[in-house]
Amino acid sequence: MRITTYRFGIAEPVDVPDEAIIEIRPGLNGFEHLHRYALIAEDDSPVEWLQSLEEPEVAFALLEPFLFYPEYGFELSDADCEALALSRPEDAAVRCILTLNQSADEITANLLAPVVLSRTSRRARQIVLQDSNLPLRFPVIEALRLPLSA
Amino acid sequence: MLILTRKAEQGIVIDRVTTVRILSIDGDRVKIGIDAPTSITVLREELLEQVAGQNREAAARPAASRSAVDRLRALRPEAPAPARPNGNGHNGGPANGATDRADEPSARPER
Repeated sequence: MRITTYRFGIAEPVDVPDEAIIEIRPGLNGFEHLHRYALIAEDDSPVEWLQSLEEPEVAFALLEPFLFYPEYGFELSDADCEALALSRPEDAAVRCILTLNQSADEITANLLAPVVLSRTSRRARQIVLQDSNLPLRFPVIEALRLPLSA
Repeated sequence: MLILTRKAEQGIVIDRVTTVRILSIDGDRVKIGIDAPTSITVLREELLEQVAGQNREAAARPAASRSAVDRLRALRPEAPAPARPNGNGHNGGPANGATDRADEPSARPER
């Protein structure tokens, strides 16, 4: 399926396989009206994109939390498992939404409300980990102790 | 909007399955007990608003996209997954073992 993405600010056609199309219900918080997305990977970077199929201008950068926060873990409620048609933990993928800033050293990840995706049902949800004390803006670059760019 | 007046220890039953009870009232703080099926998600409203605000901020940053992709390149997804301890105060154990990216539902963009 050919879709259009504006993830880099200009319209870019991308071919995605059917397996990359996912449904998010209820919609992401603040984007309740959008339900269909494509998951687009970058060739040489762990960043992935959650690209809205309904509004090409809407795209979210995603990163696997275990790459920068190895102790990340939470329990998924029965209701969420049911909504995602998720029966085995290994069918789940967890991604955090990144907030990108003009300075590449100020990338933050939302650990408080991860996106949980079922590889089998192709459904996803944003889960709010109430009472977890996890941050909404976790500084990714600092956590990795990557040298800051000049 | 339905508006009801309740005293301490009085409750409201929603759809026969969810009970909201006023447990105590202390000045401007009200303690509420909610007894609902596990299929119903109960969240503090302001928390949802914070997440919505963060999502809106996260959505509209194409000018920073390329540099972020470059900046995070050092994080190789092929690297072995670090061991994940069980429960560290974050709401119980890990929800998944999703570090195997072999069958990720991702698409590689054609260039």
